[in-house]
Amino acid sequence: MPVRALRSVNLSVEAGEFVAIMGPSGCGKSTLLNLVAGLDIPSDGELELAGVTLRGKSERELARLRRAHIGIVFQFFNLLEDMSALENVALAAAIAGASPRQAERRARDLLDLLGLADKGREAPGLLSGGQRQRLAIARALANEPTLVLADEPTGALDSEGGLEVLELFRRLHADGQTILMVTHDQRVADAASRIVLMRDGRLPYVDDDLSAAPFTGARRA
Amino acid sequence: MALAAGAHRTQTALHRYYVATHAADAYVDPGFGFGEESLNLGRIERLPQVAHWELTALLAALARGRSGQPLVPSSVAYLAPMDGRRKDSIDRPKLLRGRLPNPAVPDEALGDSKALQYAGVRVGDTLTLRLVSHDSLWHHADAIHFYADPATARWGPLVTVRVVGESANARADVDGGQFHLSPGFYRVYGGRVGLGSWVDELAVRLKHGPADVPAFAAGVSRIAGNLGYGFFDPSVARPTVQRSMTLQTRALELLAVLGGVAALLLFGQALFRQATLDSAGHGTLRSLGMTRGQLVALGAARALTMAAPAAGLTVLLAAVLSPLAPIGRARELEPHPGFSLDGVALAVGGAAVLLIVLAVGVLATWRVALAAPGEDRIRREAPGKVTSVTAALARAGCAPALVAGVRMAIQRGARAAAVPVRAALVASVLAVGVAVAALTFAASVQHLLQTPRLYGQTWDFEGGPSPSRLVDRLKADPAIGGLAVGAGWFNPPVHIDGREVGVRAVDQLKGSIDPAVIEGRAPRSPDEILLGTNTLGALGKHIGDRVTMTDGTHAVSLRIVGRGVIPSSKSLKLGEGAALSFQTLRRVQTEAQPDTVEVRLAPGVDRNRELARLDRLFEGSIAVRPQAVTDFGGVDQMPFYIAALVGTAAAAVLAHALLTSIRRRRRDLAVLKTLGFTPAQLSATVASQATTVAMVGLLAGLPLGLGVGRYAYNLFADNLGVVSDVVTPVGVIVLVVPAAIVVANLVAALPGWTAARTRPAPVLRAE
Repeated sequence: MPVRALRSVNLSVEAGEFVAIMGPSGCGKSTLLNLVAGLDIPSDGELELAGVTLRGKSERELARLRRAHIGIVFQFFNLLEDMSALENVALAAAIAGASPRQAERRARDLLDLLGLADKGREAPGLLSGGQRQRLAIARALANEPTLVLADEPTGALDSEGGLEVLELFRRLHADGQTILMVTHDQRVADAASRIVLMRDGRLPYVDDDLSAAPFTGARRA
Repeated sequence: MALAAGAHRTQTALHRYYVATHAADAYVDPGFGFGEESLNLGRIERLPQVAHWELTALLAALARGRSGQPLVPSSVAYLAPMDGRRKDSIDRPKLLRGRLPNPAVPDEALGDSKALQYAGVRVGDTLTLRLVSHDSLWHHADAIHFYADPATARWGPLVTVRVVGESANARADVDGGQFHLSPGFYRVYGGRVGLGSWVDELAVRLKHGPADVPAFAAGVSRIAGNLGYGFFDPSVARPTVQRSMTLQTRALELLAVLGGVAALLLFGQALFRQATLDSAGHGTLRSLGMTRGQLVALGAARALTMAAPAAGLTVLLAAVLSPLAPIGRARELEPHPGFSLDGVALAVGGAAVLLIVLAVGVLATWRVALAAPGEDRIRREAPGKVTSVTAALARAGCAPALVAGVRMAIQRGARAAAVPVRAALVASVLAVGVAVAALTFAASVQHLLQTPRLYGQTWDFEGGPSPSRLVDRLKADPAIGGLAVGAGWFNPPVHIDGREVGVRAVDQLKGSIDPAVIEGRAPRSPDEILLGTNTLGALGKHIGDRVTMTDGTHAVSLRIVGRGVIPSSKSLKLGEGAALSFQTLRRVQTEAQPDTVEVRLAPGVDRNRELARLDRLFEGSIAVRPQAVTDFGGVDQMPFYIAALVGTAAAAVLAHALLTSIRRRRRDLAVLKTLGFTPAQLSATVASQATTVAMVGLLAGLPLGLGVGRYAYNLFADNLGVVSDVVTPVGVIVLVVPAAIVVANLVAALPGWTAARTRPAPVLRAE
């Protein structure tokens, strides 16, 4: 039986914005992210990325759009375990079209930026959770994306690691990177410049009960 | 299993043929003579040991084959029942095609496969015979020569017979096929008075089979008294026929063993890995209270669910494939062709499959069960191992799909996502290695078959006993470059250091025709000798040692100067014998007479024309290809079957590795897609993986195969006793390179299509 994961989604993210979509588990946040990344195809509605509509695009065209415009950070990192940290980042740059030298240089720069300069030869399995997520972020930035998508980026980290990652996102945003993050955690969402609520596949979600409630003003107890 | 059962069927075919055809236990003939008192075969028929008898005349006749070549007695014999009875009690023909001749129709004949081959005729064709009458044979035996034109040589009636059937040939002779004429033929064309026969042969079946032969032979001797006669016990010659089938049996057995080992090596790893992964979660079961023993029992039960159907399918497949056996000559003789259920082979094979699969499953489970409580050996993630190969490829600017594919080909991956790459790489090396070895071996066997020099025939033509004027004529002939005369074909053996050894002893009359030398040199002086490989080994001697040659009366000491190949004859098997000068032989066999003429043509002459001329002069060559070499010609395709078997297994292992890789690495494929890989690039990744496996196979397998092929052939040649001349078919071997890559990519087609359809979202969400 088909499941309607999203209904009534209306969202636009401007260049340079850091938007957090907050909602409970199962509300459709990851599905929305996959649609934006072109990893899923909407059954109806319009989706535009960097001025290009995704509707009617083939898998090949979507892949090319992803290379050019999207960097993804996953909750569970999804790094390639058989490649070194440097190779993980360089691969993303190479797929985007960089020459081998450019790809390696970019990878080194990103690892340096994210405090992993000395971990280039290490396999991801030997890094801590926070380091792995930083490596994942470096990979997401390797193709100089228009938009970074982050799906519960602190979900698999301890509090210290999570804070590290959030601080990184703030820095990236301050440098002009457009970020769209999904989370169920208010504290994580607070790092963003704009929070949009999502619930039951609706975005933005407006609580009808709250909006219909009478205005009580201020009252003395 | 089918191969093992086929080997058994091939090995036993000859015995079952003799039983089914009621093979004769003995043959007696009064010999070839005219007007003299001869053995009374009627009295032989009445000996108490005789259960059944048949009397057959070996007729003298001239004929030409389809291409005009004379059919000499050594190639074709014409047998006619003398009593008008159909051949149905002794030596019953095993029909391959057509039917038996009708006794009421005198002009029908049945030919065995060799006779039809020599004559170049098939069932339905006719053959014209110039029969030699009794009088002509009696008065002109010496003058009758088989190159005479049957159309004009008026020695008897001209008869045309129709070939109505083809039968199997199980003769022990190296040469010779037979036409069995209709039972009515003898009577119609003159019988004993009208027809000349070389021999009247009595075939008998004895009441107690071969056990009665000694008593029967004694009875024949008693009846013959001082008269000469011929007595032939076929059981003496049967081992020669059996040997050719034994060779093919060994080849099938070798194929079965190789197939079994290849399957074990190639599939065993996959089975083991599968069983190990199936044991995932045993840590949980142990924490719930299951003991190690119970876990192993669980693994065994799981393995049994695989093993039982596997064994059943194997048995079924072997039964279905049974009509393919026996092979070679045995196939012609098989009395019950078609499906055959070899109970023993199938039972043993099925049990073996069951036990092996069970053992692999239990072993894998045992390993997992040995893990400490609480530790899940399967789930524990090992740190990833990084290789510099892929880094180097990336740095060199190789396409990302290529880099990813190479990585997947050579890296196993972490435990939970481990892929049997080692099995695929080993399979690839094996497949290429075996293919190259097979090609090298087969090419060398073909070269042996086509190069008589290698099996001792260092001349162009060999003739039988000849008048001295013919020899003198050849000496003066400028087309003849080498001429040697001596004893070899019919000469009795000598004793060398107490061992009976056949000899080839010739004197050089013109030029030099040396024996084929493997080690050392040919004899040059009267006290030197060259020995065959097996004879040298049997005597326990080496080059430089001395041996004593004797005939019981005279003895001479000779020095071994070489090891070589002595040309085969009826009494001399390949690898055996001694080569020396004819003058040296006469020091021991003082009455020895020359029976062999070796001729080498001068360079630049028209070879075909000169050989045809010599054929006419000598009425045919007596040289024959050694049976052992002919037998190997019957299995020269075997290396290809072995290569095909291993190649198919390797392709299966590669397919398994690729499909496993896609399944276990779906997360990696999903990640690559999120990074921007197109579906085509994912397919290309799998293709690169397969190509990498093929390339590793080629890099390691090519030199390995060349080395193994050469070694195997040298071993084979040494065993056979021929000169080893390894041929490396470079042109064909080069084709192995693109073939391996094409096959690998064909195998990768489906896995590549599957990979291209990877949907990242559900995969990454599930992970």
